[in-house]
Amino acid sequence: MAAAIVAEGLVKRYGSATALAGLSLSVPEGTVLGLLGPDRAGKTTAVRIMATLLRPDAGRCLVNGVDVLTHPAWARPDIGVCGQRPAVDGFLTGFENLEQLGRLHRLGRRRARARAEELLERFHLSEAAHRRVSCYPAGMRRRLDLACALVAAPAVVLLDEPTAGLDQRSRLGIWDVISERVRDGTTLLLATRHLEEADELADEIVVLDRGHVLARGTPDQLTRQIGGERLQVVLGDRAETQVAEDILNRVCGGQAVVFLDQHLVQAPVVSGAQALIELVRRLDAAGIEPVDIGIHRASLDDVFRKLTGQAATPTLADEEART
Amino acid sequence: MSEFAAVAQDVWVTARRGLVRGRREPRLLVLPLLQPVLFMLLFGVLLGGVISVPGVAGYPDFLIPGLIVQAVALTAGMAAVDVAGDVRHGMVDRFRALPTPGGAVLFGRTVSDLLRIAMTAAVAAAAGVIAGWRVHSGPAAAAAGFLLVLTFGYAVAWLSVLVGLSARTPRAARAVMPACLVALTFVSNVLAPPDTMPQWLRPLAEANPVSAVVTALRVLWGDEPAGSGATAASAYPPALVWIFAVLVAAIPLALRRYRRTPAP
Repeated sequence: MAAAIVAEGLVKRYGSATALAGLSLSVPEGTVLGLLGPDRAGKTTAVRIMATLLRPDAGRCLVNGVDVLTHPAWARPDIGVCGQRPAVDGFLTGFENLEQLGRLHRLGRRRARARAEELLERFHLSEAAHRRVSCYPAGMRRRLDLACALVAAPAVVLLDEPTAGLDQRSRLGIWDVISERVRDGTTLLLATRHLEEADELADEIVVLDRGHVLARGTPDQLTRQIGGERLQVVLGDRAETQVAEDILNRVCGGQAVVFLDQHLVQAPVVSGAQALIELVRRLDAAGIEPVDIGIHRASLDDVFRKLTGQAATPTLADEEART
Repeated sequence: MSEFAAVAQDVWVTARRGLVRGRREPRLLVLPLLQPVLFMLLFGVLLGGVISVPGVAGYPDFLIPGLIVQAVALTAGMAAVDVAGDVRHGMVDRFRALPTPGGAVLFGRTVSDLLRIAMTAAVAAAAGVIAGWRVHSGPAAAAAGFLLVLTFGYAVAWLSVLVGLSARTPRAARAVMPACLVALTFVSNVLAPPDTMPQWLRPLAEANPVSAVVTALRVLWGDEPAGSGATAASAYPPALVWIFAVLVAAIPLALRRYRRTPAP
């Protein structure tokens, strides 16, 4: 399968700050790449370079086979892009916004209008088509913003945090719309801070932090890469941790880790259920009554936390503080 | 469709955007339109009786050409606020990501500015006529004067686009641009002849490009004070050179800045 987006060694510095320290990635046609990272990871910089809006200090970038650095004008017709905040004209109606972009894409008046109608319908905006965008609620603005990026039916769509600042319901609506595009064969690059979003929509994920790629792979691969299943025991008495560590080492074949302050012992395991029964049996024989015992599956959330050192999904309060 | 026709259409679509915005968000037009009328009332009518400029029949004859130029400059300056807002709201990024040439987008925008400028000039001139100002030369010279005003306004509009693209925030543009233009039009020959000003201020007022344009306008309209020594030959070239210089500098700089607009 041909790659719709290829980036090689993209570097961008702002003064002494490094926004991107050599980003390389490749997105096969018709797939979704999640560019996952916290604030200031370099996501927006990467998207703007691919969208021909920013020149990197080093590196190469091809979109649909066209070098966006040497021939930006050739690349633009194939690229649709949405920034972090919806870029729509509030003093125009939804229809006028889309028609204006259609005209600028040189579709001609009739096709620009037909395309605007079509997109409004597909994005469930027909009813608000002739209202001014300044009175659209946030979710509708976002949908219109996405529609704006799709006016010329581009082969590649770049989305920079398409659901930032939206409530859960609007977020699900946007996800639906995005999934639909993917089914149509559009190649998508989705920059997001939301793990759930990447997990839900992306075929492959690149984890980015402070301009560096920390990990890449399918959501499943990433989860496994960090440790998969672990057996975990929480003890009532700190003195019992030593015994529990020995037992876990025997059951799981070594690598037990003790977290003394939490009275917690855990070890990676291959077939968890079998090992769990064995563990319970041995603890019982040793006369230890655990407070809690179980199989812990690393979630993508853990992966993210482990890789970037911060919580993946910000709380709603964080989100509000940002916007 | 030929490339020329396509670009002409890009220009028309972006010009229409500016016009629709002016019509639907008229608050942006209120200040520039109100300002010349207020100044006319203040200086022409209220203070007109106590002010007399030697060599002119009435103060309005001296004042109005300058007030028209000032009003046009302030209207053109509003473009900076608009453009800074477009950067802030990601509209510049959106347009830059289109196959549309940047020149067409900015040119279209200034075409809509030109129409606003023409409107302001018309309102200011009408207010001037009510205050007692008359053109003392023929219709051809009157028309040439308005053409000069529009050209001047157009140059300021490009300068404003450049400022708008370079401003960090729309608020910065809103604070800086009108203040600069008010200062520039006050420290000039708009309200009083520079030779009546204090010694230290006079060189500034005389070197001011606004003064050059206003003098050219007064000469064209027959409003120049008798005995000032300004003639067509001495007044027109500096005005035209200034306008031309601003256009030649601001257009390429604005286009360059547009291609490098930072993230919103």
